Amino acid sequence: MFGKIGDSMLISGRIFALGMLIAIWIFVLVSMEQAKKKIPTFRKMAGLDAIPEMVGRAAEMNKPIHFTTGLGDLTSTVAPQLVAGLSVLGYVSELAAKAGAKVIYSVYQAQVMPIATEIMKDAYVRAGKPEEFDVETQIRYLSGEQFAYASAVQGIAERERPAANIMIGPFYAESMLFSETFFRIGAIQLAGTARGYQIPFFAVVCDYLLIAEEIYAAGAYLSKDPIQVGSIRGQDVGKMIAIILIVLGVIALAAGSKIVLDLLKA
Amino acid sequence: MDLGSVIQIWLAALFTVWIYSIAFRDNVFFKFAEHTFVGAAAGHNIVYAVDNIRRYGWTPFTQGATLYLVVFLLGLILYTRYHSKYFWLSRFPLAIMVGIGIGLSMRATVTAEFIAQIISTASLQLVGVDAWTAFSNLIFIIIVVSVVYFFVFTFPGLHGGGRAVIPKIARYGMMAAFGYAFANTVLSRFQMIFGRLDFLMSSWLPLPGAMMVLPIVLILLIYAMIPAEKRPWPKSS
Amino acid sequence: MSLLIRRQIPIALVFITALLIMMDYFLKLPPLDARGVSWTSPVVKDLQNWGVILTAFALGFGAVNLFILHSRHISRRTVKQWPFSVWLLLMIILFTVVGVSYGATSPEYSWLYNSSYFALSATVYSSLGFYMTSGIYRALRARNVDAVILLVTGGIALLKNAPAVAVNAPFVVSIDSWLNAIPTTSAMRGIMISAALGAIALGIRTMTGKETGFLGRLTEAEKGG
Repeated sequence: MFGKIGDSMLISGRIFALGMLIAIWIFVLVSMEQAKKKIPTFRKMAGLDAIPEMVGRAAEMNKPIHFTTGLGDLTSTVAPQLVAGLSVLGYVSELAAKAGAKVIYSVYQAQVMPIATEIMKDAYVRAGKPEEFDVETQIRYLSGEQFAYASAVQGIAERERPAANIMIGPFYAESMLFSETFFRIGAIQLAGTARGYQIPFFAVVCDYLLIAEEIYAAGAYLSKDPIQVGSIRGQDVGKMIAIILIVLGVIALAAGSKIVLDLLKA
Repeated sequence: MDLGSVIQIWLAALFTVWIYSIAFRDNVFFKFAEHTFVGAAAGHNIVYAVDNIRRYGWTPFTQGATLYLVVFLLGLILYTRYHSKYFWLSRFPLAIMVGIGIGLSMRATVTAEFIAQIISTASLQLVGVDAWTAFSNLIFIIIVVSVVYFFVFTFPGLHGGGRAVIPKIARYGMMAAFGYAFANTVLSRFQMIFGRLDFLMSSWLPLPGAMMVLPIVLILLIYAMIPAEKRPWPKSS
Repeated sequence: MSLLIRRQIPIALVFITALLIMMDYFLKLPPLDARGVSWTSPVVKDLQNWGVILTAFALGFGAVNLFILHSRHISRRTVKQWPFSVWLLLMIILFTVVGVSYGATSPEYSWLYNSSYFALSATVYSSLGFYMTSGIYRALRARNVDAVILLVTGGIALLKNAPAVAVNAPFVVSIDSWLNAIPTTSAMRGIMISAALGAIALGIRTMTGKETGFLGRLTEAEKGG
């Protein structure tokens, strides 16, 4: 009976993907539970370790810190990259508030503004300086058009001369424009995106780089929250499964069997 | 050519020159172009937002989809974010937006970026092909596996001792990819500059008066790039 | 009760919305319509429309921000800024009035769009070429092994485009093809597989209420919940 229901409900070609999604879900949940007892050790990420130094430098020079999340929005497939960027925004804002440096967050999509406002407000409250947060000058909506946003960010860089520039989220062609402009004004830069073909531009110019998956782990790394770190361990298990599947697939194919490939394509 | 088109070309040409000027130094002309752009883009987005509400909300609603009244209400509820007491109400529409983004992302990612990439890699032949292909495929597999290994965060032992060679291979592989991708994009970007210069040369400069105005535009632009304290007038702009 | 409404219901809404979208993709859930389409399909289509409508509504946050920031500059007569603020607000009003009253496809709006927005957009995009030149210069600073590898592969990719190289040293073209097909594609694929896992785990955290950034400010009770 179950087989019949299963046959009618499952869509061929997506069965293994669904199974994998459920498996990753289980790994993540189990790892989160285990992390409550013993928090896993995180490998070093130089880019994230450099944030306090970047904030301190800005405070010392009495210059702002520029932060942006690229062309991130909430309702498309790049939403996780935006969420990853926002998880770093809170940390940077709190450090900056404590050190007495101003954070300018350049926003591409208006829908992010209420969330960013709350995140930054919360950070200033945690730092004990809620009165120093000025939403209109610190969170700037720059139009919702890729290149208008890009030229406005250039304007901010040239006129307000931030000492540090942090870019985490989905970036497109503007990646090179931003990293070069901020390099020119002498800002120390941390950049990260999961958009593979934009990473090279950040790699060439920026001082610190977060490559693809590292941006998703950033929030957990900085917060050291056991549940978040636990979920990262869950995705690590997923990586090992990916490696095993590739190796098994290649060996099976070399031996003349397509069993692994057929399973993956199920 | 009608007057409307002539004005349009002039405006487009001046904006082009002014926007390019930021590559050298900030100046009032760039600032003017930038503010024009942000204002125009924000206005353009409002126009499309109104259009989207009409097309995707109001039209289905008038055709009997009364449930769309709920989404209008949710849209208005977003603005409770400005209220000190009822700000939490805006979480409901935001939650739906986040749910849509996360749902779309997860379903696309697991198939197109996870399973499909594993399938493509596991389909590489190491036997039954010529030696060079087998060698290339082996390098390919080694790089994919080592890059995935590189991103393991919470098993620090995997990155230490003799195993440290695997993330090192990954790093070299990624740097090779970044260098290659960077250089290939450089060329296409140069093509775009030529496209824009072609517009100036073949659409703007042939217009009456353009050749005379060009040097004036450039002189003013260079003058505007001189820092205020170093130029005789105006001291501030 | 208050905690339930303020915190748990939004998390439940994320969960249900995301789950529906995923179920529609992975499962064929009865009852099916005459074309064999699952009941979730029209629901998900509606949800995606809802996303477009809510995004449109949310634009007001941006407009409010621009109006407050620039009105402030104007009222304070901020040096070197206030005339630009006046102009920016005028542009917003001009585009909005023409676009809404004549329609986004009208000749009036198209004229306005092509004279400013379109030209500016194309120009900023093309200006990337300038930054690429200085970017190449940065790439030339080969500080370590990583940078040397980046420089070598980048150099080969640039060389193959020079006609003289293609004619006199065809092996460069072969190396270029290999670099594209093997190290570049494989590294990008490895990056994609791991990034996919990162995005999925982040999605799971958000759906299960472990990543609550979107909820914004949380009271102490909400944080504990």
